[in-house]
Amino acid sequence: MLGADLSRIGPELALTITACLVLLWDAWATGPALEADARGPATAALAFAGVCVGFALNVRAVARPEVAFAGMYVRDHLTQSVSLAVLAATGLAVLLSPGYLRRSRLPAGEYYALLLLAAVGAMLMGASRNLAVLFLGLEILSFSLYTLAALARRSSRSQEAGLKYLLLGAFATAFFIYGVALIYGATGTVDLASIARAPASVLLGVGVALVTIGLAFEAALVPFHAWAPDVYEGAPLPVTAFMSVVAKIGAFAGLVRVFPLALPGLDREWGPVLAAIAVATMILGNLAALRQANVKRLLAYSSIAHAGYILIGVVSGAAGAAGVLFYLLVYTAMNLGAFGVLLLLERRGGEADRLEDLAGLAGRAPWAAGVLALCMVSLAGLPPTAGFIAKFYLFRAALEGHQAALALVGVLTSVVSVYYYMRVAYVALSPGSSDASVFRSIPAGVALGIAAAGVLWLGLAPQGATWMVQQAVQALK
Amino acid sequence: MLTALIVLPLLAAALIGTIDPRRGRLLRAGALGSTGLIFLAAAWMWARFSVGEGGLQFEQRHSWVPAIGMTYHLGVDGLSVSLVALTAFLFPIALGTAFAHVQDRLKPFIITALLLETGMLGTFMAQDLVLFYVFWEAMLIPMYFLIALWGGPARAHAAIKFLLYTMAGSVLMLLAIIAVYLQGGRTFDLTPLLAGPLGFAPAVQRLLFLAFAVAFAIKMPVWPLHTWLPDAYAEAPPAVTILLASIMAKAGAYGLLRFCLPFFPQASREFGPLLSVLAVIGIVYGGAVAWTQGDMRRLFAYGSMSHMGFILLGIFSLNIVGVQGSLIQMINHGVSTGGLFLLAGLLLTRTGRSRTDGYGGIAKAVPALAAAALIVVVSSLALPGTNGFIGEFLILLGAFQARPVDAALATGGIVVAAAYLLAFVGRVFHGPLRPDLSRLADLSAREYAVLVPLILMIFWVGIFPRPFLARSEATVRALLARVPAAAAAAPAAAAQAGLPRFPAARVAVR
Repeated sequence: MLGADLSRIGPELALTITACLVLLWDAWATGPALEADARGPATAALAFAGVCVGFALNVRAVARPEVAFAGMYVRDHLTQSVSLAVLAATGLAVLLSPGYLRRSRLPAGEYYALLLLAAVGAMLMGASRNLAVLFLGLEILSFSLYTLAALARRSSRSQEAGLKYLLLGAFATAFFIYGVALIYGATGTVDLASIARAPASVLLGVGVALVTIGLAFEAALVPFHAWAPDVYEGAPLPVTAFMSVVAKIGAFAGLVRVFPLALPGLDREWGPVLAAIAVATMILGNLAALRQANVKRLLAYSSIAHAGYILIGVVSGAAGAAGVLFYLLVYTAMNLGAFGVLLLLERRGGEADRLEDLAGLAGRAPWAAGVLALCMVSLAGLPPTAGFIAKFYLFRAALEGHQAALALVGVLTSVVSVYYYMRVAYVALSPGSSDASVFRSIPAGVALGIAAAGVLWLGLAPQGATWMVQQAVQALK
Repeated sequence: MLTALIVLPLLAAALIGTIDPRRGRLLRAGALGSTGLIFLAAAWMWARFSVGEGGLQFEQRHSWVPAIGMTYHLGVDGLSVSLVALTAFLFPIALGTAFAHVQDRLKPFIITALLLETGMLGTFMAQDLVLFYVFWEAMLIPMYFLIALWGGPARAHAAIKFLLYTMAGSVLMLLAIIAVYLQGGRTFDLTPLLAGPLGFAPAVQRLLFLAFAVAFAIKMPVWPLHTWLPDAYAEAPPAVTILLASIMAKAGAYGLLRFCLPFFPQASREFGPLLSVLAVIGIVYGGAVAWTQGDMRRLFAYGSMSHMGFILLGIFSLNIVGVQGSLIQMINHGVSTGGLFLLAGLLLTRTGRSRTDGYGGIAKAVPALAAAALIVVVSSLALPGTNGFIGEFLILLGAFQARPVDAALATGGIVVAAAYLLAFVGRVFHGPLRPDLSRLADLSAREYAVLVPLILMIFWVGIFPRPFLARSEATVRALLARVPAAAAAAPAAAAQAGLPRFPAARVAVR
C-alpha cells in the first residue's frame, strides 16, 4: 500500500528529497566563506535537477484519478495541470535566481530548499481531496514563503515584509482552520466529495466563508490584499517573482477544488459573493497600479488585478475552471518573464526596481527589452500573446455562465491596465539612460527564452494546453 | 497563398533582425525588397481573383483550437481583395519615404513596420472572428510603438491616447464576438455563422450591433469618436501617418461591411439613418475644422476624417451603388490621403516646418513636387478624371436614392474640401517665393519612385475603375441580399430601385 501511495506522490516526493539534499549540501560545503560565490551554482543545479525529475514524474500518463493515502490525495488531470504550472514556475525561478543571489549575498542553500518546499505546498493544494490536505499544503506553502520574504537578513525592508506576511498570514490561516472546523461540525467530514453530498446549513455556509477568506488571502483578493504590495516590494526580487506566481497557483487550485467541485449545490450563495470580490479586485488592483512608479509595486498591484480576472473563472462553471488553469499557466510564463528582466538589472546598492531604471534598456540589452515588452503586452491581455487567449477563455466562460457584468468589468479594467503596462514597455524601449547596470547570465537568458516562447506559443497555438485543461476539469465532474 | 502573405513579413522581419544595425543600406534594401515582394504576391493574387464570384477565394481553413471552435480560416472576397492589394501596395511606398526621416534605430523601425503589415494583411483576410480580433489588435501594438518611439515631440501622449481609445472600442467588440459565438452554434468561423440567420432578439441585436459598430467607428473615425485622430496623425512619423490614414482607417470601414451588415441586418437598417447623419456631420465638421488648421498634418487629418464620412454614408445607403462607391472610395482614400500625408512628409523632412504659413511660393523652387502635389490634391477633392470622382460620385448617387437630404448636405462637403485643399496649395506653393526656401531641393529619384506609382493609381482608378468595381460587385450583391428590405418602406424601395439602375450608373461614370 505504502509503495503505491508513494509512487503517486512522486513529483512532490522528488522535490522534498531534493530540498533535503540541497540543505545537506549547503551544510557540508560550509567553509571559510559562508556565502562564497562558488557554492551558488551547485545548489542551483541540484534544485533544477530536482525540478526536472518532478516534471518527468508529473507527465506520466494518468488514465483515471489515482487516489492515495486513504482518499486524501488524488492524482488526476487537474493535479497534473496545477503541478505543471508550479514546476514551470519553480524551474524558471531557479534559473533566474543565481546571479541575484550571488550579487546580494543571500544564502543560496536555504533559498533553493525553501523554493522547492513552497512548490510542494502548492502542488499538494492542487492534489487535495480533503480539507486537511488542503490546509497542509497551504501551510507548507505559506511558511516557506514567509521565510523567503525575510531571507535578506541585512535588509530591513525584507525583514518588515516577512514579519508583515507572517502576522497577517497567521490570521488568515486561523480563519481557514476555523472554517474547516465549522464545516466538520456541519457535515461530519472534511472529505470534499462527502461535503458536496451534505445538506446545506448555516454552519456549513459560515465555514465555507471562513475557508474562502483563508484562500483569498493567499491569492491576494480584495479585501484581503492589503499585505501584498508591501510584501512584494520588500521581499528580495526573485522571491517576489516566485511568490507572485506560486501563491496564486496554490490558492486558485484550492478554490477550484473547493468551489465548483465540492460545493456545486451552494453556488447560489457563494456565486454572487465571489463575483463581487472579483469585481472589487479587478477595479482596485488596476486603478492602484496606475499610479505606481516602482515596477515591483506596480507588478504587485497587477498581480492583485490578475487574481480578480482568475476569480471570474471560479464562478463561471466548468469552462471557467478550465480557464483558471489555463490562466495560471500563462501567468506563470508572463509574470516570471517580466520579473526575470528586472532581475538582470542592478542599481548601485540595491534592486533596480524603479521605472526610470529601465530607461534605455533597449539600447543596452535589446533582447531583454524585447522580452519585457512582450510580457507587458501579454499581461495587458493583447493578442497575439498568451495573455489575450487566457483572458478570452475567461470572458467566454463568464458570458456562457451568464456573468455578463463580470466580463464587462473585466474587459474595461483590461483597457485601464494597458496604460500602465505600456508605460513600462515604452520606458524600456525608448532611448535614454539610467545608472542601472545590466548583468548577463546564461541560465537567466535560457529562462527568459523559455518564458517568452511560452507567452508566444500559448498565444498562437493554444490548442494543446486548452485540451489539457479541459481534460483536467472533465476529471472533476 | 494567403498564409504566405501573412508569413512573408514575419520572415522578412526575422531576416532583417539578423542584419547588423550599422549597415543602413542593406537594411533599407531588405525592407524595400521584402515589402516589394509581398506586393508582387498580393498583386498576383489580385490579378488571379476570379471576377464575378461572390464567395471566398484562395480559401484556407485549418483547425486551430477545435475545443473552443476557433479555426484558422483565411480567404478573400470582393470586399477584401482590393484592400489586401492596397495594403501591400502602400507599404513599400511608406517605407520608402520613411528612410528620409528615420535614421535613428532604423532596424527596429523596419521590424515593427513589418509586424504591422502582418497584422493589417491578416485583418483583411481573416474569416474567423477570433482570428480577426487577433489580427485587429495585433495591428495596434506595432502601431503604438511606431508612434511612441519614432513620433514627434508629444508622441508618448498621442500614442497612448490612440491605444486606449481604440482598445476601449475593441474590447466591447470582443464581448459581442463571444455573444455571436454562443448564439451561432459555438463556432467562430464566419462561413457556418453566416449560413443562416443568427436569430437574435431585436434588442440584443441592437446592442451587439453597437458594440461592433463603435469599435469600427473609432478606427475610421466617425464623428464624435475622432478625438484621438489629430494627435496620432500629427505626432506619428510621416510614413506611419500614411499607414494610419490609408490602411488602418479602412479596416474600420471594412469591419462594418464584413461583420455589422451580415450579422445584424435588422439593426443595420435601424441604425442606418443615425449613422448617415453622423457621416454627414463628420464630412462637414471635418472639412470645416480642416479649413482652420495651420498645421499641415492636422489639416490633412481632419480632411481624411471628412472623406471617411463619405465612405460611411455610402455603406449605410445600403444599396449597391452606394456600397460599391464606398469600396472604391476606400482604395481612393488610401491612395489620395496617403499621397497627401506623403507630401506633408516630404515637405517636413526638407524644412522641418509643419505649419503652412512657414511656406510660400515654393512651386518656383520645386516645380515637380508642386505638380505632384496638385495631382494628389485634385484627386482628393474628387475632380473628374481622377479616382476621387468615381468614388464620391457613386456614393452620392447611392445616398441620393436612400437619403436625399443627407446626400445633399454631403455634397456641400465636397465644396468645403475644395476650399481647404486649394487654400493649402495656394498658401504653400503659390504666391511670392519666400527667400529662405529658394534653395529647396526638388524631388529625388527615390521620391519619384514612391510618387509615380501613386499618381498612376490615381489616374487608373479615375479613368478605368472597372477592374475594381467588377471584383467587388458579386460580393456586394450577396451581402445586400442579406439585409432585409422590410422596416422603413422608403429606403427599401430605394434599394430595390437601385439594383436595376446600377448598370446605367456604371456607364455614366465611365
